[in-house]
Amino acid sequence: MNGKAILAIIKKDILGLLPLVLIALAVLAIQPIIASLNVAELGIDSEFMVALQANFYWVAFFLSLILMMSVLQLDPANSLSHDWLTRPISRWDWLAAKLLFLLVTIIIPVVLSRFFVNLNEGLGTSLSMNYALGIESFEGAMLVPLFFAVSLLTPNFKKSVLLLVSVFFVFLLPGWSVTRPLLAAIGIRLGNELDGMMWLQALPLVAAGIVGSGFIYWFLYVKRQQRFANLAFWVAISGMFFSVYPPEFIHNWDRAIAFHQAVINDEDASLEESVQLVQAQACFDVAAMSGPDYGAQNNSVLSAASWVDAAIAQADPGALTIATPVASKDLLYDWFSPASLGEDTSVDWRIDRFRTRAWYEADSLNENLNLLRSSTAVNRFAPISSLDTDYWMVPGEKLDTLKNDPTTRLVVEYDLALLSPTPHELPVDGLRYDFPELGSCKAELDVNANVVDIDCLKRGVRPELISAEFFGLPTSRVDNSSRTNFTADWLEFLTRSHFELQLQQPSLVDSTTILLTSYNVERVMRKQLVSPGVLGDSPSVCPLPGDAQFADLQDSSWSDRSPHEVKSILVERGVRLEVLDWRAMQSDPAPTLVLLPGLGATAHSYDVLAERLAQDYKVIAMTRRGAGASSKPAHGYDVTQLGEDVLQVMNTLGIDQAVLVGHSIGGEELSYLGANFPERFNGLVYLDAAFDRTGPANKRQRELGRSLPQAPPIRPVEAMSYDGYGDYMQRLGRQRVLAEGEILASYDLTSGTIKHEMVYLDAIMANLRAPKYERITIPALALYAVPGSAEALVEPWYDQTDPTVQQAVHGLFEIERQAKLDAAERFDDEVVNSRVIVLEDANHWIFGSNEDEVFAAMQEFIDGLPIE
Amino acid sequence: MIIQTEQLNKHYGRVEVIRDLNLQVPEGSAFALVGTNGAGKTTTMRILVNIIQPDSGNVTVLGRDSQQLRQADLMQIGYVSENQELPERLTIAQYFSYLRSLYPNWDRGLEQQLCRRMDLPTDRALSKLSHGMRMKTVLVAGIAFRPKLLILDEPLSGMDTLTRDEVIEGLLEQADETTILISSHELAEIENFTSHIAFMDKGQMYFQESIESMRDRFRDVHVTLSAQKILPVDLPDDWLSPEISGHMLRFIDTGFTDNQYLYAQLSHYFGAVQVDAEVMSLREISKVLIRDARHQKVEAAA
Repeated sequence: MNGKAILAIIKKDILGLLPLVLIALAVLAIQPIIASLNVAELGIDSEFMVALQANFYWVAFFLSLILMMSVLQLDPANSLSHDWLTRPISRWDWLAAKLLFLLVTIIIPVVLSRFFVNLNEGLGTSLSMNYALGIESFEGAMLVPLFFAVSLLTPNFKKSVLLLVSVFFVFLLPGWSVTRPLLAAIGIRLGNELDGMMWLQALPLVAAGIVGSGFIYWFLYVKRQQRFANLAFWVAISGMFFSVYPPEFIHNWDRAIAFHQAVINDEDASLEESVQLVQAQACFDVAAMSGPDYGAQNNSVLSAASWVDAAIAQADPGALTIATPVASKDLLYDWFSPASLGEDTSVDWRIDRFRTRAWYEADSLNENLNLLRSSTAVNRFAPISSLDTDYWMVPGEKLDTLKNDPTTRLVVEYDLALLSPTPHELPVDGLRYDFPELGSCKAELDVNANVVDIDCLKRGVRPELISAEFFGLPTSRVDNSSRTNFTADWLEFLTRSHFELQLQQPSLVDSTTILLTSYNVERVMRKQLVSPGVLGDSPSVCPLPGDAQFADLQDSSWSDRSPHEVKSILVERGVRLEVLDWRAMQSDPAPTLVLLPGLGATAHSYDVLAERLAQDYKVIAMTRRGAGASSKPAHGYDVTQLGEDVLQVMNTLGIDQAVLVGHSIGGEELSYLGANFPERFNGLVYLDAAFDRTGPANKRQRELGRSLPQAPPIRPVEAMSYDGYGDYMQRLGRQRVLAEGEILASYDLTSGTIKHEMVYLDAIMANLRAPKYERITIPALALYAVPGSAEALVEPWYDQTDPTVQQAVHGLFEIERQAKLDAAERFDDEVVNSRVIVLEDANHWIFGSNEDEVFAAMQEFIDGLPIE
Repeated sequence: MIIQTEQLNKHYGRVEVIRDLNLQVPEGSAFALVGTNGAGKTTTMRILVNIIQPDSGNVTVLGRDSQQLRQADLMQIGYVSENQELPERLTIAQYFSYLRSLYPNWDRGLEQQLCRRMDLPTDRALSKLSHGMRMKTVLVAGIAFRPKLLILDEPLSGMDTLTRDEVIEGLLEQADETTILISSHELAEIENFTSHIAFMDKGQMYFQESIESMRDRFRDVHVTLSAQKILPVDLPDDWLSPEISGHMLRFIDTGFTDNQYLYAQLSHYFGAVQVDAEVMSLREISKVLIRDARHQKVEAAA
């Protein structure tokens, strides 16, 4: 090595490329600054800024590539006339000079600029430097060896571009109809990307580029053998090509998964038990892809499946699309004690089903019938969730065989990653905090946009997934990615990552701190869910398109039959609440009753009870903000505002005084209003509602509750009418406690899900306050539904011989009974003018299960009130 | 021999650029490689400095196989070509400063002296130089480290006479200590300082010898015959382009030794004659050779 010569070459190259070097320096220095700008704060044309911010990295990246190509091609070997060829320059000096040039003109400016940006963001000196040194983009890094090889091989920019274009066309080959069959013959198929496991492809891609560049340099610059250099280039390109499009016999899902299993899984397989898949619907949604039923009723399935044209072309007459929603029981969670909250909160483990396959098995089939999966379905890019729906094509020709064979079963198989959480508490104050797993993070409240922006900088190994949520508001959760990142730690060691997450509607809860969770893959496993029949149950339960019962399922007969007037009352600017008014039924002067529903329920909860009460009283019921037909503003879910809503409704309707009745969470408004506005209320009636819901969570109760089997889902025919729903309840061994209007308002029976947006329900739960019973001076009646025996808690679908079920039932019975009796006792003690009634073996929907007793108790209580 | 090639061959696709080339350049010589455009001169020179590699044959430069030339060898070789690609954005001074770092034996005094002599605007960028200026710069860059071997590929083409003289003067100064291999399709301008000459055409070497021996053996012979004669068929092979018109015979004798012998030969064919054998200029000699080479090719093809 000749230092003097190296320096002379660098100096010559800098002088030779001075304009380009200066432009690159400017862009590279500005890039980290632009990336770090907070666009929202700048307030200038922000759409432009967002686009600039998103793409400026690539401007800087490609400018760096151009600079790299230019400096290599100032002194090319593949030339007959360049001055340097006959100068006494050692090839190693040449290489050292070029690499040093890149270091000086690209790497150092980028690192320095990043360093100062980081320093400016308050990262501290050593951290700032550490973050500045990491590789920012794997995608970019993968291209560098290719461009390096091309620049070595070609003497000028024009030829480089030509070569790159030809390389580009090589990589287009698999998409071309002529070459596709040829490549398919050697096992190369498109659409077999390994998603989160793609680092297994990126690695040989980069290696091929680096090794190829090495050989090109050796042959062309040192040995001056043009042909071998060309050969080395195309061998490297083939290496890259087969890395991007690996033939299946070399690299496939099974191998990638097996590899990760071998690396990640430990011998203790007990975690496998903790993942239990459940069929979320009794019958999978189905749509005919042709024929008379095509496109009639079930278009939602077809549109969600959004098949590509090539897949539709494969559909034979009678082909079906079926949707398989599969949930996993949330059995795995950790407890976390955030400093600010003062109580434990649970943090769920997560599941990423990164590959799904399905097939039919039946004795009459010679071999399993593999189903085509829609890769375009909406769920594919959804965040890692606990309910995952896949869409499959069932060939029509096999349908009769499957339908008529009682042994038919559908197997849905998942390869999944189980992710264990590491929770962190991050104050929302714009300051940076360091976490070992997440790096340096800050969270900032943007009041105008009503969001919290979270920003983490991580150098080196990064978590497989990151999520953020408000404490107590699990539905506010956002993930940094829709798939698990499996990249090997030693590779990530070289990188730096910048995570940005945005939490919506901080005004819903106290958002002074947030929960930031990093996840690591604990285990990679394979799980199957086996369902009988074609659609998840026997054909008589789950009819197929074309069957007579299937046609019957098209007419549902739900209606709201209660004689109420529906009103929408403004309580705050932009906030209207649904009020049901039965007062027309009672023209004589009578006490007024205001009925409040429970959490996730609407005023229709009282459709039956209210009709009965309206014979004697003036009755209205209202739906709380955030539910049903009421507005869902981004704020106001604390009891002060909820109580204010009740007063506003009363004011608007001209109700000076009323008896306030609340079911379940309605007890919160009752306790607040009863304590603070005694002049507006004659009395309070708590319908299984008088509890202190604050205080530490009962961990044991939660654990036992989760361990019990879930109720079997409703069948299509049972979801068709209120009578059918009654049959379903009977099948479950339960009473039909909900009014028809309430089911209509709150539930989507076909999918078994609640219609309300969970985030608003969570917001109410997150804003709870302890009741101040001692301040309630008006008369108060509290009814409690208390389990009478453990046996009463045993549901028909439980396996009674299972000792864990028995243990859970008995445990839960004792906890719940004790908790309710304690609550009743406390209410009785602390409320001055109290009356407590405990109804043994009543349902939580106490006015549904024990309507007469509740009605009688209420009548007696109200009639005893001193109302003028 | 400072340069020696044996049975050198090079082809591009189907085109044979060099065929069985044997070239010997003695140390200390000023060796002119003459030939028309496309004769293979440039390719030969590029092979000598390992810019391209021969298909077959041996090439020894400074006692080393040209494909094994090392950094230390290149410090002894100056290579100047008319279409050299330079770091265009550099000024002449910056370019020389860059080269200074590469050659330990760079002679700064010589560089400055040559720059002055050739009137080079050292603060001008290379891309802004005229062709002549550019060639002079390249020449200085090839000479200033006092190489043992200077390979000049058409250094004088496209230059005006004044510039050419300046360059040649510069070269002449080197002629004593450096072996010079210079190619040209115009012999006249280099004839003053070349000691050897080789003639190439279509990739083949026709001959190579020292200028002295060539001057000695080439004569432009004018003969006045006693009577009108026709050209005999068996004239000596070394009599080129014999022409007879009336009483006048003219030819080029390529094997001249002395007048006496020439006279004896002429008497043998034509009887009593009157002879005038003129010494030829290198330019004239090369013209004759080129013409003859072409002629032979045509015959061979026929």
